[in-house]
Amino acid sequence: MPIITVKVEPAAKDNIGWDVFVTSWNDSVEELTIHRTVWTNDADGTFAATTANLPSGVYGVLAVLVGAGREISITVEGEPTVLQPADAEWPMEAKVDSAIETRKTKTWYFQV
Amino acid sequence: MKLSRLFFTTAIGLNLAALSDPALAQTMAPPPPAPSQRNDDALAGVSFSLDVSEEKSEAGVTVAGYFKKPSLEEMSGQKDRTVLGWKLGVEVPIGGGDDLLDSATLDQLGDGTKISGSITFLHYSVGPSQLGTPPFTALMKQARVACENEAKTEPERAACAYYGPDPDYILKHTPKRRLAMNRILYDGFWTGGLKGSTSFKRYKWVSAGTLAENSASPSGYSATLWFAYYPDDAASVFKIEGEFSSAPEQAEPEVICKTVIVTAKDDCVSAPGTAPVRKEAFVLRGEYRRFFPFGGGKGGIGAAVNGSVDVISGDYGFELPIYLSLPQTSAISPGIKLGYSSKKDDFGVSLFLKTSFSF
Repeated sequence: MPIITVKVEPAAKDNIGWDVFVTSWNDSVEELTIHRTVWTNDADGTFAATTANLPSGVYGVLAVLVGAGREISITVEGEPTVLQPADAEWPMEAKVDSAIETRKTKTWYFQV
Repeated sequence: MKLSRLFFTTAIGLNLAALSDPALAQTMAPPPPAPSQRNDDALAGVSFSLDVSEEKSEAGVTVAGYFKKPSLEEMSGQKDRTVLGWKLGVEVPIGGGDDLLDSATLDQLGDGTKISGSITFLHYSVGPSQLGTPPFTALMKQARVACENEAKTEPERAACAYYGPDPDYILKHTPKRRLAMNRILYDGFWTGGLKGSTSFKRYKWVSAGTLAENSASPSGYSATLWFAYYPDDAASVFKIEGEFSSAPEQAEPEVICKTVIVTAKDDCVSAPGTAPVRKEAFVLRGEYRRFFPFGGGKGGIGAAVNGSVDVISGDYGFELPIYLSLPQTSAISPGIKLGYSSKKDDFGVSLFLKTSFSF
């Protein structure tokens, strides 16, 4: 029964304009579950979200960013193997490219 | 109407400030049209800026913070977020016509210093559950079909399977669906704010007959209220603002001579001949900024049509810069800007080589 901890390092060192969720899907990939997390933050501007005990399986980290230039870096504690996208390695980066967009959503799937 | 300008510009800007709301880039003077580049994001802390271009050179320092931001408890939920921030800033012109050091008096910061304070809000919703909706699932299935059609071998085809909905998967295999996907994923969001500024600048003029030099330092001030709405396509923004300003306006230089002229070189000067006159303006501005992607979304064309009108004087103007963003990192970011100012009855066209489109 693993506990998932996601560490987020926002470039701005605050929690403005981004949200990160731990997700999972049913077998048909049509029913989303967002797992409850407890957030903490350190004085250095990093944040961490921790889930309760979860069954082993495939989970996702979902980053939702608002506002041009918003940027965060994400690492799942233990750096589990990323299943999707292929060849991705921790930490994951998410950024709203101010030249082309005002919002950004990214997700990574991993096995625990 | 006259076509007066066709020239290349290369603006070199180094802006380290992360918080700059719209009016920050404006001078205290009334129109011309709204500035082309704005950044409405807020960031707490202290930041410094150095902005050097053909038109102006100024340095600035800002201090910013928040009255309200999401709590750690709120981060666990999916409720709407509202952020309320504040900022205080000082801008000082450097070089050019507004020298930091007055050569006659060594009076530091004597010309063109500006102090400002602002309150900014940001309101947005968090909707990760949109990933599980039938429209998004349909886009995923379209992307998978495209992926499988592109596959040349069975392993490549097998690699098209996915573990869950993924926006990047859609953008990779069906890049033309970017805007459709954005509209499914997002709601629009709002920013806005209120800003007050005051400026201090030394004005000089010369008395006819004696060539006696006069100076005065009347202050200017302005107040700006603005809103910006970012639609659900995540590729555009509407902005409106109203600014009231009251600022001294320097007279145009003219040839002024002593009563008795012995040698024109010594007895005549080119300088303003009257004291500055205070001018009030109430300017309404509107802007629509949009990026049109091509080539998979990394390249595209950006446009930012904006217009302004001074409801007191009746002066108006518009500006339409069009930016070309190339898919790969390029040494040039070319574009063209059309503009008109009724005050000067001046239609201008300028080509630029390295000014990037930005939200």
